[in-house]
Amino acid sequence: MIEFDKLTKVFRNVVAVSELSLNVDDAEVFGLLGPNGAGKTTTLMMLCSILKPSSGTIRVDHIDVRTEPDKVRSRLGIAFQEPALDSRLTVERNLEFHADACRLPRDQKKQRIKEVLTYLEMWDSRTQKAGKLSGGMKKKVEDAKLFIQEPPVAIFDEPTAYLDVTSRLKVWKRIESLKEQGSTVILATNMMDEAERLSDRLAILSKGKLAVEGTPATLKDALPRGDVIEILIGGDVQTALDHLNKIPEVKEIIPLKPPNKLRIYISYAETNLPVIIETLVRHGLRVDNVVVKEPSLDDVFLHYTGETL
Amino acid sequence: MFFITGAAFWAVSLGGLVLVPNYFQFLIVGLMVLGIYNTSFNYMNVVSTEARRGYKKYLMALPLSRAGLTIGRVLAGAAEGIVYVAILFAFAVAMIGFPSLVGSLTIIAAVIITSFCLSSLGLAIATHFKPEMIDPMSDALGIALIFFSTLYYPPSLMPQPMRFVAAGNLLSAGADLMRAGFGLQQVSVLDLAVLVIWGLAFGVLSVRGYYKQLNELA
Amino acid sequence: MDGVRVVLERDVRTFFMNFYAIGFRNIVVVLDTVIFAFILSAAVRPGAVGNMTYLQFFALGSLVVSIFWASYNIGRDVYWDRESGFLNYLMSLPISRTEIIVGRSFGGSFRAIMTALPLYVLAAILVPTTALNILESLAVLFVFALGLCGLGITAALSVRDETRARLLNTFISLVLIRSSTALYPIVAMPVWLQVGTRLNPVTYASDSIRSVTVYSPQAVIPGFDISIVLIFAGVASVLGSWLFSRMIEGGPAE
Repeated sequence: MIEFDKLTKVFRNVVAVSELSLNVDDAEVFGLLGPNGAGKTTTLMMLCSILKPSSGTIRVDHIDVRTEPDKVRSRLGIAFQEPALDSRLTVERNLEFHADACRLPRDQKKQRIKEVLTYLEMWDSRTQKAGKLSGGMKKKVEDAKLFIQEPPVAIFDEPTAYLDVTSRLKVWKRIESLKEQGSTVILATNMMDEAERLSDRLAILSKGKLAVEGTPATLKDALPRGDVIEILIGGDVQTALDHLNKIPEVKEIIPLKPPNKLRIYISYAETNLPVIIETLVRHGLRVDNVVVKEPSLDDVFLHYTGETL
Repeated sequence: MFFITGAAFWAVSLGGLVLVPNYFQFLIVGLMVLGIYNTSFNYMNVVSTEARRGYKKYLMALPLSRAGLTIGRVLAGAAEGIVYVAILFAFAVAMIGFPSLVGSLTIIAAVIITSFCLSSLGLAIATHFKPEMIDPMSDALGIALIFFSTLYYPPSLMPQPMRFVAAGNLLSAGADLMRAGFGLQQVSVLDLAVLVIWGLAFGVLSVRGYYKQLNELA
Repeated sequence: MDGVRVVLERDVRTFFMNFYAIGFRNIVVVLDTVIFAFILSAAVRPGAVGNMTYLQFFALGSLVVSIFWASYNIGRDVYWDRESGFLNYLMSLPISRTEIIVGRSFGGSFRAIMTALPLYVLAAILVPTTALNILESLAVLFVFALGLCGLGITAALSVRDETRARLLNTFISLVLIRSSTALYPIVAMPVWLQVGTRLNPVTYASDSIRSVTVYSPQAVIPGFDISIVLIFAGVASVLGSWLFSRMIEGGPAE
């Protein structure tokens, strides 16, 4: 388990992380969301003992990062947002360096490197110098370090940035199998689909503070606005608004462009959709198109932070 | 300031070691030229760093002509050397004494042309060699330029073949013109001619090289 | 010690990757020594460099200067590691801060010795010596390089700004080298410069190299210079290691 207790980091006059308290359970994928500057990377740097907290504590399996950083680092591995590769060394040598530094047994080292590079379709590039790789390839090599290491705590900071669709899916699958093998995964990301797909639980940071924490499903369900129905009406929009606002389950209606398109926030859309259609038809209005959407993590973020990603 | 401090230590110590008349003043002027060399010639590192960090691509995306970028580059390197040597000049004046008006003009002309020559040469190297070969090439050229010149020792101490090479060396020409400006020796038109010829040659090479590099990237 | 080995291996490996360029550079440095010192030899005051020629004096001093540059510049590597984020990566590994700096210092010393090899060969040709002297001097130079690596790394991590880093390096390297007996004897210097020179570790490294090859009358107690070099290396290495650990971990909140 990883415990963050009132963790704070101040850079000169800038509060990067403020009184962050949360727990990450064993063998779960924990998502850390937030816009640029929210404090995600700073939090991860403190977890890895690269940065020292201004106050508060972090414990990994009851080991304090501040007092026993070497022990903590032996339990974790991090794939950085910006790939940290020695540009002079080849792909293979970079990974061998990582394997040696993490004390991977010799007999497993070469085999794992080959297996992971082949999986990521990078085996043919193994003799290329890291400095000559494209951004996406560097990112894959960065992620490959953790796939080879298989640490008890694996930290990924934007693992699929710069990656094409196929590579993204491969990295996701590999992260999922890390979890299945018992690793705890912390995933810092700006991508909602990634967070939703991979995270068992997630936390949203905003301006250094914890905005909310929970599973994707509970966070979406807890939204006061509920589900979304977008409806294209044939007829007078004002008439539609007047009658729809009288339905108790309707929380909010926003007219959209083009004219005659309404976004209706309502609880349990699938159950209440017939009521909406019946109300409109009864008052002489036509329903030209209906789309029902569940709230997304984007809506969750918008609600809790007042920003969009 | 640190260069001046190191140079002062060097000059004063070698001056106490070497039996050449007025060696201290001789060396001070040589170290002035070395200062120009360090700044202008090493401008190539600025250019190659820009390319490595992707900043060159940004410059190329600006509403500036390739020709303008190129000429600006060459002149910028020269300007750096000129600004830097102003401090060294003050130091040399403190050590040697004020030159006459004509002497000052001679020194200024020598500084400008030498800076231009060296920054053009540096840019020519940066644009004609692979990044990993730039350091060895600049070292080799540096050795040839510095040690086969009159920066550190007068021609009278050199074997004849070396004197011949030093006579055509742009650093020798620059240093000797500046020494003439300070009244330490006679002015030689040959020195001016050497500087102008090298300036033209390296100027053309550097402009061609940088321009070609910009257009290859485009 | 595994951490030291891993860090050291990387430094050695990357050093040999650029061997062609380094080899070429070394030849250039040898030429530099031969040309400059050979020419000036003709004009050096008799007796100023004891019972050796100025070329011999300069060759041995150049060896020390070469070691100085090569080992001190490990700090530049560390600086760029930090700027590129690679230092963060090293610090995230299960390797202690001490292992990182010890590994880099040993790596830097190895690189320095290898870089100076051609000058070493030149010095061995020019200066009468024995195999034991060669080993002794190698040991002294290695220890000196260790201390310089510690100094270089400390200097590199003390400043974040590239311009300031360059200025600091220029100060340390230019002033330390120019106010030492690496390239000219202390008797040639004015009294005010001699004071600083006697406090300069490069002076003692240069004099100790000369004293293990050719006895120099300037070394009053033959082992004295070597002792100073050992003390310098010990202090610089420990200080560098302590500062490195403190700067990266356990320092005050910024």
